[in-house]
Amino acid sequence: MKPTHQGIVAVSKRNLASYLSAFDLDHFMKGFEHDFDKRLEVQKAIYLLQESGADLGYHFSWYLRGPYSPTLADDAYSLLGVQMTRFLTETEPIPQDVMQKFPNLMRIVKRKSGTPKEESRWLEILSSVHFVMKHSYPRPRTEDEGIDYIARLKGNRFSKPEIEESYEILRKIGFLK
Amino acid sequence: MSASPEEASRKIENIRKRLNFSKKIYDNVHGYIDITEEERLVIDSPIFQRLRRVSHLGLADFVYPGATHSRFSHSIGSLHVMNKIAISLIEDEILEDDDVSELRLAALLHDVGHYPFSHVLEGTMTNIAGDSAKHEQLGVFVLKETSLGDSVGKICKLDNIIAILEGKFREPPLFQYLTSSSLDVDKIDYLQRDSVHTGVAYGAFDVNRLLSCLEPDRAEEPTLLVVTKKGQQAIEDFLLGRFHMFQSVYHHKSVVAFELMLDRIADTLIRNGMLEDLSRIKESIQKDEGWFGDYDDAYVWQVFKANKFGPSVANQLVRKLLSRDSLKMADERLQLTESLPTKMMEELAKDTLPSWLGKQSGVEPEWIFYKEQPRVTFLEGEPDRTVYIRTEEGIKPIIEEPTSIIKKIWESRFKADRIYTRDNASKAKIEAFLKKYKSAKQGK
Repeated sequence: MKPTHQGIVAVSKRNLASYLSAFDLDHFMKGFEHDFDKRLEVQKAIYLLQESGADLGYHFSWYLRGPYSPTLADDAYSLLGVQMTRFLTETEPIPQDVMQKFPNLMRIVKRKSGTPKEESRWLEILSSVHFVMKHSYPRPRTEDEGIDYIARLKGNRFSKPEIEESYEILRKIGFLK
Repeated sequence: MSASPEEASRKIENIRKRLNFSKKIYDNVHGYIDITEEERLVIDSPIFQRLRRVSHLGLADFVYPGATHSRFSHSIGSLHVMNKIAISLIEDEILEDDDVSELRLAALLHDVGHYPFSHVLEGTMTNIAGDSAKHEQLGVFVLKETSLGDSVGKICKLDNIIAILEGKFREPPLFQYLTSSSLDVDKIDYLQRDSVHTGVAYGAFDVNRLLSCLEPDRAEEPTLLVVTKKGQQAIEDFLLGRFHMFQSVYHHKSVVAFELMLDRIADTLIRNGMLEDLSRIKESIQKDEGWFGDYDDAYVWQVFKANKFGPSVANQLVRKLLSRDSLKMADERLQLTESLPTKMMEELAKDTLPSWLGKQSGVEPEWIFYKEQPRVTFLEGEPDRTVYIRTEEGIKPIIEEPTSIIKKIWESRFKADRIYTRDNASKAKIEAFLKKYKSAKQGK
């Protein structure tokens, strides 16, 4: 989905707008400026979108609330008040794998969340479990080690069964092997 | 539970003995900085010495002539700040002795992958290649591919340093806050250093007071540093200083103008194969690490000078840069609520703003430059990266503390979206068009 022309708008921002629009995620941007949960949703959803194979090029670091990218935060702020569809020019088609995996995951998130607050909770725990299992250092040697680590770090907000369930969801739809 | 004073002194003495300092470096900001023999070998390597010739503030010296300091002095200063914080965390029994060596090295090496002209050329590279071109990523590549990594490996586990620099290190979680947050060692050093070298006094703050008023949160597994109530004025000075440095230096309209010129020249030369893009930089490092030792400000100036003759915009920009003839600002939006007219936003989204504005105003589109800084992040609001203060009611983000002036300046955050052009004549044309356009819109 890389843009094919050179211009003054950064590659990452153009790609972000295109993907937000293509997956109908524009709603994350509403109230984004003033609402931490919204910003968290953007970070975690885009992390998972990238992990499903979308070529967005963001680098995420590990924090207590899960993976976070400062570049993504800047791009999202600069897209405030802009209709995402206006960026839909000269981009490559979205890979088939992304078209399947990411919407599958978002459907599960929606099904499990009764309220918007719950939606951001599920995005946080799913992205955190994924980051720890796939990118963190030292990498957990076993599934239990990773789950125990997250339970220790986030135990005040997520139960161990929720963490285990997140791992299972990610495994079932192909985010983790 | 914190150690007793005697136990704490014994621990500090032990860590000093273990580190076995062999040299002192005199720094104009912090005074004497102790380094170990192994760290000296890292510092004396050609790849690290290269940082002496990478300007810390890009082209800010075009406006503040004293701002000629380098990534080298900043890296040594960051090691010093990290050492002070790490030692106090040893006293609190939050960190182990081994952590200190790792954190010192991570601070020393955090900028080893910086491009010439620091964030200016980095901006050009990331615009083209995304986050993979960030200096942290290039630094990790350098550590993996060159003999510098071997020198680091003699001090501690190279993979740990790489994971810290990549932001992937998960234990102890406090490491991430120390290396990348609104109160990380990088910012504590550079704010003072930039203030000293630019002569802009707003950036000055009491670093010793601030460092002595930091403590970990008291969670079972600390993830944050917290400023004690006694340190409220010191942290406010630090944050206010950062706010003013953004206004006066980092986003100064003329500094931004010169940096836009450098960005456009570099972008043109990279796209035409005359200056290395990210993949060529990596290939060159793999073929001969000595090449990277020469990849500094002077290297880029040399390429620029070789391209100063000719009619292209890039050629003309080189000549303008060499004679300090800056672009002229034709439009500026600093308030967060201000935005470009809808039509211009649409053109910006389509990446056709220069051609549209050029057609409307009669200025050649290639001489229309747009610089967008959507939020000036002197203090981040995200829970993992913001600044916390301990009050009688408990730990809270400083932006939520009613007795702090930071709560007020947080509300007066600003952005810096600007349009620049070639000269005063072009500036007048754009201004005239925008005035007409605005009144036509209001008249509707």
